[in-house]
Amino acid sequence: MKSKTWLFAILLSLVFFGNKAFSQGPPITADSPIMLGGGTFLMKTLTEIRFTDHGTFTRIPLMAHYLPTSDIVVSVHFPLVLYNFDNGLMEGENGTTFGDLEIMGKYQFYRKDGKGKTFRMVAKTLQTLPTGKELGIEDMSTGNYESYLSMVAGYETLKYGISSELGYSLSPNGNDDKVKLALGFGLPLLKPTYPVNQLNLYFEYDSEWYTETSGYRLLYAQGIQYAVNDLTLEAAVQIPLVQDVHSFRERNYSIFIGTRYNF
Amino acid sequence: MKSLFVTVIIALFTTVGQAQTDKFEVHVNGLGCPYCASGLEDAFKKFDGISDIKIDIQKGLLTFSMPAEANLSTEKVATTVEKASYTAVKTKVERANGKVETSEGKSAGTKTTATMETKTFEVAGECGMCKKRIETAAKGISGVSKASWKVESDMLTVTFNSKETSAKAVQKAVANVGHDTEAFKATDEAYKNLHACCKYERME
Repeated sequence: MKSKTWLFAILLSLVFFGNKAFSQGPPITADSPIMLGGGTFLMKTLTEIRFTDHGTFTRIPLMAHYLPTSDIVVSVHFPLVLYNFDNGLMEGENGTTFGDLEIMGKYQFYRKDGKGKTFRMVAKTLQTLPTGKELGIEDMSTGNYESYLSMVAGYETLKYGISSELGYSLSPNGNDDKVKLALGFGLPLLKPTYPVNQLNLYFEYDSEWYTETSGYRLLYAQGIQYAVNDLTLEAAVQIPLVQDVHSFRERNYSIFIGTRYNF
Repeated sequence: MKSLFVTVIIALFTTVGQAQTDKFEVHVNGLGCPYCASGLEDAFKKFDGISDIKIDIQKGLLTFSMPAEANLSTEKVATTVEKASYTAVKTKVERANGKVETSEGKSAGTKTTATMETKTFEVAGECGMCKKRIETAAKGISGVSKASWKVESDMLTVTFNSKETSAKAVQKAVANVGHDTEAFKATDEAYKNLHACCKYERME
């Protein structure tokens, strides 16, 4: 099953290689406040393969982003989830399902540009719909509604990039209510040029406080991104630094593989 | 004869092939990473006939050419930069007819502060003292940013904001201090007041 999951994830990433890719730069696991022009349509994917003591879970989203204006983004994320429980209450359960559908909206309310640098702030909302199976796999397939509100801020220069996000997630039963704080740093390893030829390193922290069920988790992701002309590839490994949460929420590590495209 | 024929043919094709183009230079703020430039380029690619789009990410400089008949305005350029979510700081266009326009502004909707033109015309004079007098008179007009008169050729080159003044106004001012120009003749009294070494041959 594991090899099948890997193969599927890699194949999905490769499907887009023949298309025009959109050379992205900012965070891999975190979000970015940078919007790239009104009237554009962006497709992207960021596959996550999560390894836990309960099993291996893969989320393969197809994310369709539309920018009606230069400061608004609306998007829909269609996730495919592959699950394989090899321990715990659901041991032996495995399969593929449509995950929890997400609808996102972002509005850029502040922008300050300088020569070779920009600072932007964005208000963001993410609504999760219970289209997935009730598998209890967080951010993948819970079968529950969830509403998330946050503020994303980022400072991007030719030498480095910093992005941050502070938000609150609400669920109907309160079990998954949490405060989220993300902080990401990007470091270009090559001299910034256009046409794009970039090799970037990312260091991303993601922390969550469960307000109703008490718990705290701090994740660290080390990512690398390569963009040349129209093609961008990215990969990251995310590990927990702190995990003071219920055992079913514990993670061993995650692998992210992504590509981004502008049609 | 054969080589002459070939030369004429080549020259003809070269002339036909060279469409009249306006050349744009846009200083853009907010390009904090190479991928930002992708969004900017995509926004400009929507213009029909645009060519030679280049972005110097280090300088924040966007350059491109447009067919002259499109008559793309600097305001439209700034609006497009804004639509791409960046800030146009300064836009300069060299029109196919030689006219140079610049506009400065934070972004779309900002007031165009200057539409600069450079013109050269004949001004009669004789010496270094004339040069100083002519250039001072020209620069004394609001909107004139540069004025240079050549003793050898009697030609005055001025750069001015066409929204504030005109080439005729400059010539009038120069004539008022005693120097004949293409458009205006100095009064006899003004000519008489010139220093002895400045007595030039009057223009017809």
